Amino acid sequence: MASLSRAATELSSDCRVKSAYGPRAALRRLRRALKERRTVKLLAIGSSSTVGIGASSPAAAYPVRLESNLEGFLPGFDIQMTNRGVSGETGQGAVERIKLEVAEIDPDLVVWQVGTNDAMARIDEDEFAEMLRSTLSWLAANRIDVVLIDPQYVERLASDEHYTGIVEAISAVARDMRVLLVHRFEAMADLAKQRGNAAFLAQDRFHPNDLGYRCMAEYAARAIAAGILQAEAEAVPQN
Amino acid sequence: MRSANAVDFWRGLALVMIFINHIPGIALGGLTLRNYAICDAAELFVFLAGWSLSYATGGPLHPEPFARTVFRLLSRALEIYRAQLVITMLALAFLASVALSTDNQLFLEWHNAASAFYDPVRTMIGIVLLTHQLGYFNILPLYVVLLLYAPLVVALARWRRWSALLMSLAIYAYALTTWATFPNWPAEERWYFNPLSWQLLLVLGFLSAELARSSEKFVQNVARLVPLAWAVSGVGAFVTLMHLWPDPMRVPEPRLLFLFDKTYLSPVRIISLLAIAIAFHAAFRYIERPLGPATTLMCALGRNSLPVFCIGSLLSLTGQIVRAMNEESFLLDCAIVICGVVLMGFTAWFVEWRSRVPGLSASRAS
Repeated sequence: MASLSRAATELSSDCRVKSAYGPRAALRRLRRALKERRTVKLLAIGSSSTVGIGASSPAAAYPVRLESNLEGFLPGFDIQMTNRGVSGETGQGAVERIKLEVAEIDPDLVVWQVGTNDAMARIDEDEFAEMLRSTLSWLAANRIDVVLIDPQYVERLASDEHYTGIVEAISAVARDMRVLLVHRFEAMADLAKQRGNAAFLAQDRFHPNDLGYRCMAEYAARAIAAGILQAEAEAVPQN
Repeated sequence: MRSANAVDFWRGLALVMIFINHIPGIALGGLTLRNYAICDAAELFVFLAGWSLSYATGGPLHPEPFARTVFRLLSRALEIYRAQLVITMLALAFLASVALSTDNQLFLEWHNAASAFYDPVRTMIGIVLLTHQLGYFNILPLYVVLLLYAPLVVALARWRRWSALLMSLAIYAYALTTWATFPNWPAEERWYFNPLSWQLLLVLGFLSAELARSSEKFVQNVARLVPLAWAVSGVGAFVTLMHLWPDPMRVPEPRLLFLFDKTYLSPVRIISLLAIAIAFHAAFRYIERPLGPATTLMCALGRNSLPVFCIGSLLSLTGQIVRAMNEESFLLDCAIVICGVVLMGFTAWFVEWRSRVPGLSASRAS
């Protein structure tokens, strides 16, 4: 457990930010899987940042890094990461597809990078929040743990009300439903302020580079470690 | 030029609905078939493609020589393949220019486009192999595969119709029970429209047309099914409006048989489409005159479905970009839809005009 507590507190110096997390929440199913020492199944859902576009190699993509980060602080455990991008499509169709993927893979934890496409497509904020809420309820009803990752920070859209509205809607839903959230938008904004966008976007100024993915994986790994510790803390009185 | 007919009309309408459905979040999106039925315009489009296959190959009474059918279908497959490459390249260039001019990299990541820009070496191969499809640019690859498969269907149906149906059902059942599909590459995904499933709809459309043109009894039986078809369509509308979609965690194996999955075309979507086809097939006769110019427009779109679909795909993308760059507005959404339909109509008119003017037709020019 020592390595887990360290993972929950430490970030590499390149990725240090003031805040990158939403509310505290327990990852009960993941904790149980670890306790039973069975293979831990993770499902990464999202758009191009999940697929790993912009990384120097497939191994540098965030789900692969996340998997190795988790293996780092959970030595001896078998962690199986399945990566399923849900390309572009928004709304009901995407939700049905996510449910089908979950039914097929039966993961312990879903890492869901959500919101960018909806924000760009100008999907109504309330409609989006409702979609998010109902899908999270469905995952909760099936006792599947979740970590949400909100949209990336793009300087150009930092003052776009709709874009930031979607980011805020994700925060609000995560708070209401007590779901772990990696506040990527805020973290990347912070990093951009510290060192300028260039370090996190590749040379053509556009795509996130390996460092950006590394930080994203670190934040997600740290959120997961905190979620396991929270489940541990909640479980103690019952023993 | 064909005169106005039901197949062209419904196909034209399907094209307009596909155009609207491909602009997610648009205000008028609530008007399309998928809001009132378990199936949507894509099923209608593929079923009607099968129906047209019967006409393109001479039909049951005057079948054209088989070698000619094969040549015709392969030529058409090549034409559609070319169209897919062209619209994919145009869409990528369009997204790139918008990303540059707005300084917003998110446009490069839209609809699976990102790997074309960030992993071009592998993605170029994927585009040519049809294993890299942009989001919403995935119907034509299905169509190419279906046309390559169509000669086999025609050959079997000419021998015994049931044999074509049996083969098609066997492939369909195999896909739904084993999750067999066409893979995407370089992304480790699967085709949005699984050809192994969707081929059944083409075959059903083809066989329906063959039977409708050769068997009086079939036509009478279909007419008897109309009340049932209305009832089934009504139930489908209720289920869709109430969002009563089955929960993938709660249905028995093989799950795909019981879900409403679009990629694998779950059976309920086929039933929904057939019910709508039977319920509405005779309606054209009654709405043809009252709709007046709208009938003329829809039939023109349906007659020129490939160029209209291609332009429609690019117009959907344009609509999405315009919406992304502006504040939400009902009026803007209406303007996008009206402009889109007008431009699709212009495309149909232009294609027919060009083929009428001596010396301007594409085939003569080459």
